[in-house]
Amino acid sequence: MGINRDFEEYHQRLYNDYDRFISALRKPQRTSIRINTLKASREKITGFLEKNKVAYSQIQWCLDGLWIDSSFELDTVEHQLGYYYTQNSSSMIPAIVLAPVPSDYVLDLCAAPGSKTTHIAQLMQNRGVIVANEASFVRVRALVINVQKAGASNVTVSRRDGCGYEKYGQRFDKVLLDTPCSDIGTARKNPQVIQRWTLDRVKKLSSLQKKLITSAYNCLNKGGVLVYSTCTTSREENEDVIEYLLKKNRDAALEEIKIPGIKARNGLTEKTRECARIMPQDNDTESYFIAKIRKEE
Amino acid sequence: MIRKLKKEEAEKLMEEMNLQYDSQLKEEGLFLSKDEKRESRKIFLYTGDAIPNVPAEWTGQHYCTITGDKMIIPSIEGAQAIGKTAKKTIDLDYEQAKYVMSGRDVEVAEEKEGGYYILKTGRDVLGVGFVEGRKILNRTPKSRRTMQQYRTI
Repeated sequence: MGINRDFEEYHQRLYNDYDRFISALRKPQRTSIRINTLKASREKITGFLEKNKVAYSQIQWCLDGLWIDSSFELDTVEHQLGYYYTQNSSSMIPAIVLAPVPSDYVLDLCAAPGSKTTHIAQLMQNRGVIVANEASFVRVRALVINVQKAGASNVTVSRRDGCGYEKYGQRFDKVLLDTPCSDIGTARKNPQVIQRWTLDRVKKLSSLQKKLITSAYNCLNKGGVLVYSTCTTSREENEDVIEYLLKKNRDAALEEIKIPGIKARNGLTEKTRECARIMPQDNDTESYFIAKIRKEE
Repeated sequence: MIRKLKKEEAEKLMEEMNLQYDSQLKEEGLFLSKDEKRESRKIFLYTGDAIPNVPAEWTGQHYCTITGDKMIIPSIEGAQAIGKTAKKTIDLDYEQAKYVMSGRDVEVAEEKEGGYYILKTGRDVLGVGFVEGRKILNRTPKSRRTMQQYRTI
């Protein structure tokens, strides 16, 4: 497949090590799972993998995450019973950065298909409150199936436009906005996302992301934490969105992200240095961008 | 429309469920009833601290369905809860479990009284099946079936 010239030129300007970046994107995606501790113990799942002679190793930044041999057929009885969830290793990071506790009220504003919702539910041990919202009728079905399968019983699913969600009046201690994006992080699994990439589409997505982050921030209690994440690389969808929020809200403060076990690069601009950029050439993962913002008291 | 079950209604539900599956389950959480005007209604279990003030499509965990003739059919998650103590169970070997989870009926060696049973393989609860003679009719929801194909046994 030929390279998209616009994509190439844009990313060559973005990264000094573009060649390493594109080489990493061309490698097949590594397979990873998250043990669902609401239903199964670590010993049960590692025992199951060992019985099936599946090589596995620990994902350093997620206690319940395992790398597993990609030749293993993941669609098993145990998977359908909800004992483990197949999830990209980088996408385990946002819930860890959000760090929910069992007494929290949490909003997952763009929640389908439910990877992070179910991760949050297990971190909260099925207590507190989780609202998982998804605008798409089709995607909300996948969300409900995954919430059910995970045994997450503290989740309320809503199907509303994420923009203007504050109008329902409910306020939250923690909000996760894992927003729709140009998906370059999924290129190792879906190489066609590179071919589809255009700056025009990125700008349209950036406009939507600014509306969504405003809504997410307005849903926060004072002192609350917003985690903004995307699985993509463009500045317009990441740092520009964070700068927009910081400019519009004087009580918004960016916090440093520390994720032991993973190499994270700083945000690309002076005002967004505390953000984390996860790069495939650094960690053999998908690309990810994560920002943590506190609404000051 | 969702309605919170009163304490005595929830206790009655657990009592009937325990009677039907010969179990001793005590569930903590709030039970919600949906589709009350339909012949079958769904019961949900919610363990959150409060019901949030948002327009909801789905709240908690689908726990069981109560049919028009008062049969209680647990979801996979409801069966996983009740299956810890239930005695009205059928133990399957792992190969049979794979058939059940791929949506197939299975046959067992011994004829059983008809009705719903909790299906287990070892300590793992697979959900429920409806028994007719030696045949277990599959009740695994389509959304929870493995895509792997197996021969019927």
